[in-house]
Amino acid sequence: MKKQVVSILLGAALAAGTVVPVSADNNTITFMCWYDEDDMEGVLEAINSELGGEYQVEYTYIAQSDYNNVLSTQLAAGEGPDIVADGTNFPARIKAGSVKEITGADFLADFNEAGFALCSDGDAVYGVPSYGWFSGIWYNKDIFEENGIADVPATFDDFVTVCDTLAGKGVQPLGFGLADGDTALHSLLGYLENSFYHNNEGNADGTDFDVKFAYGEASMNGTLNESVEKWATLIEKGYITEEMLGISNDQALADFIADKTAMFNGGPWQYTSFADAGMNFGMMPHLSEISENKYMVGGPAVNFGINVNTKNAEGAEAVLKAMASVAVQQAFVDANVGGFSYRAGVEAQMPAEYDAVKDIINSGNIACTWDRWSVNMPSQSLFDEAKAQLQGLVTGGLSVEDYLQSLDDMAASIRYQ
Amino acid sequence: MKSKNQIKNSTPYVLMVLPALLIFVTFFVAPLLSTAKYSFYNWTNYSPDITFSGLTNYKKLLSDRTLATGVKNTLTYAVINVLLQSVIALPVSVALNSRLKGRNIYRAVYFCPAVLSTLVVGYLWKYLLSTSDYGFLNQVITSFGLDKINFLGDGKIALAAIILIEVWQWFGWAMVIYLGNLQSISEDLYEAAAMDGADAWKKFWHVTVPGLAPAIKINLVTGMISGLKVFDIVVSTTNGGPAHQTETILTLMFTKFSDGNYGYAAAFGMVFLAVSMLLSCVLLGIFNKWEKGLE
Repeated sequence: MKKQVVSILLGAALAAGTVVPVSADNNTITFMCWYDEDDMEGVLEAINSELGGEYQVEYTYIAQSDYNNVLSTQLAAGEGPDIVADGTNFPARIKAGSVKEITGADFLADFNEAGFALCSDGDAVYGVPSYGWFSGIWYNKDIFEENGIADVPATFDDFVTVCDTLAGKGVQPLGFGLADGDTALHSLLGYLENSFYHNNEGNADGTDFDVKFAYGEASMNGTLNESVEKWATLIEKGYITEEMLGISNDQALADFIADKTAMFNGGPWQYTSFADAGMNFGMMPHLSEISENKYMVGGPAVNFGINVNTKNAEGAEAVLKAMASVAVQQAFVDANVGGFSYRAGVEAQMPAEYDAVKDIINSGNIACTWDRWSVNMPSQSLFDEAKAQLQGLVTGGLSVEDYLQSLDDMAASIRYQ
Repeated sequence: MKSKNQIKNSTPYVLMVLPALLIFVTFFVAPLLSTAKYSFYNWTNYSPDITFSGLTNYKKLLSDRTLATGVKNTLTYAVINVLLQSVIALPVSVALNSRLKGRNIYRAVYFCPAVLSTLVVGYLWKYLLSTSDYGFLNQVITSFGLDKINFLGDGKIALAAIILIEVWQWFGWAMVIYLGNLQSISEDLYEAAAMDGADAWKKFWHVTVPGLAPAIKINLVTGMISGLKVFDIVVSTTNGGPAHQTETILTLMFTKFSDGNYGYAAAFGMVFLAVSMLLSCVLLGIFNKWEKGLE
């Protein structure tokens, strides 16, 4: 009898432990993202202020490395936050039918078309962008001055010459954390944006090459070889080394802040770290063979859309409308110093450190290869493969041909159609 | 046919086992069957439709160059890791079973790393083995005038570095299991061996090792199973790099899952199951033969 009572109690305790409490609050709209809670503070205040108390947003931070898995799992289960936030993978969310179409919504009218690059499918719009990001090359002005480099290099050849000068004087020109960072890939894609996709008479398709590639009508191997070979001069000359494969991105960043390296590929998200460290720094653009018509790598950052499975469509729409307002868009830009907005009426700070790239950004010369791939593939997967295989290119284990072929093979396995 | 009394007597035991059985079925059997099912389906993150695709995922898997690397690395890791742990743990446990001064301190020190989370150990060693100026080990190496060693960035030695990290973390665990078994070997056997003129090596080989058969079996079997499941140490140190050279079956499965290719990831899971079962059968066969030889 005693044994039966104990076993029944054990079973009841197990059953009770599996009950999950469900929130009954219909005024709370959930969303999650990988932006730090401190960075989101101003944005959340602005959203709640716009909502005027009718709804409240509840934000959950998820580490960027886990974000895709967490969101994908929730969406695959028919759940997830009321507002879906995503970057390069947002087109994949559209393809999966996870976000609601909002074409024609009045709050979309004041956005630049370029802002919808990741949150639209043809003419149909599914979300709003947060802000625009870009990447370039941070440089240490003091190191440049001490080593007699008066001007920022204007062409890729000038850039290599600057690296030669610095290396000749015992200064490490470039810092890359190749163990886990994507900065070397940004360097390569920045060069390609300037010398292959633009300013290249040999490429009649221009950026349309990426669309053709996405649909399997063109291949990287056999097309990009010469350009990648040229960029690989940096590997050949020992400015990108095998040793960097044993260094993490955080360590490479720390080395740049500690004045151990002269240049570091990055973007506005590092601005505050450099400013707080009291560095004398600036940003220069990615370079090509000519000194005009330069391009930065960049595009819309996080995009927000309404989860088709939201239990509060009205509230989610109100929050999305708030996110599209000038106040919230301004809050995003203020939290990302140097970032820009696709929304009319939003002013972006461009401190003096961005002087060398200001005109490029203001002219709208910002483009992103992997955003273009996303028309027919989950481009984050190809980006990750490009990053992994670049390690093989740096070690010499892969030739340029092998590298580009591996990307063609990966693309063939992940295209939607 | 069981009598009413027999059923009444066994009911409490069945009820006590039932919760664990339910958990086992819910969190192992059901997901396993589900994984097997979805490995034959085209289920991705970027399409709302889940369609039957037959052997497509398996055909794709066979042409995936990283799979061969993953299987090779997984087996290499599992075998070498478990053998090295035992090779180090066995003599250490014999030494710490003797009347050595401070043996309890040594036991605690060697066991300590096993208490840490593998992820923490991975991140710690990633920092120590770094080729940056902060990398402690390379600081020591360069202080002797030698060149830096790219422990985790050189594809030829990265897997070896990961294996050594795990041997460092877990040999203490194996040592504790051997110690427990050692203490159960009767002193009479050693006395009898001494009377027969056996030296230290002969005593070790003919008394200690056969006496440790249960512990050796536990260490090798559990070590092999853990080795086949290697994931967190790889993710925290190299994340499968450089250039996929330290990928294992589970890191590849995780990547495919993260890419949103669930059907394909499920196929990887089935490959993992097949490799694990094959290795387990081989290992158990070897142990059965060995134990019969000892009898």
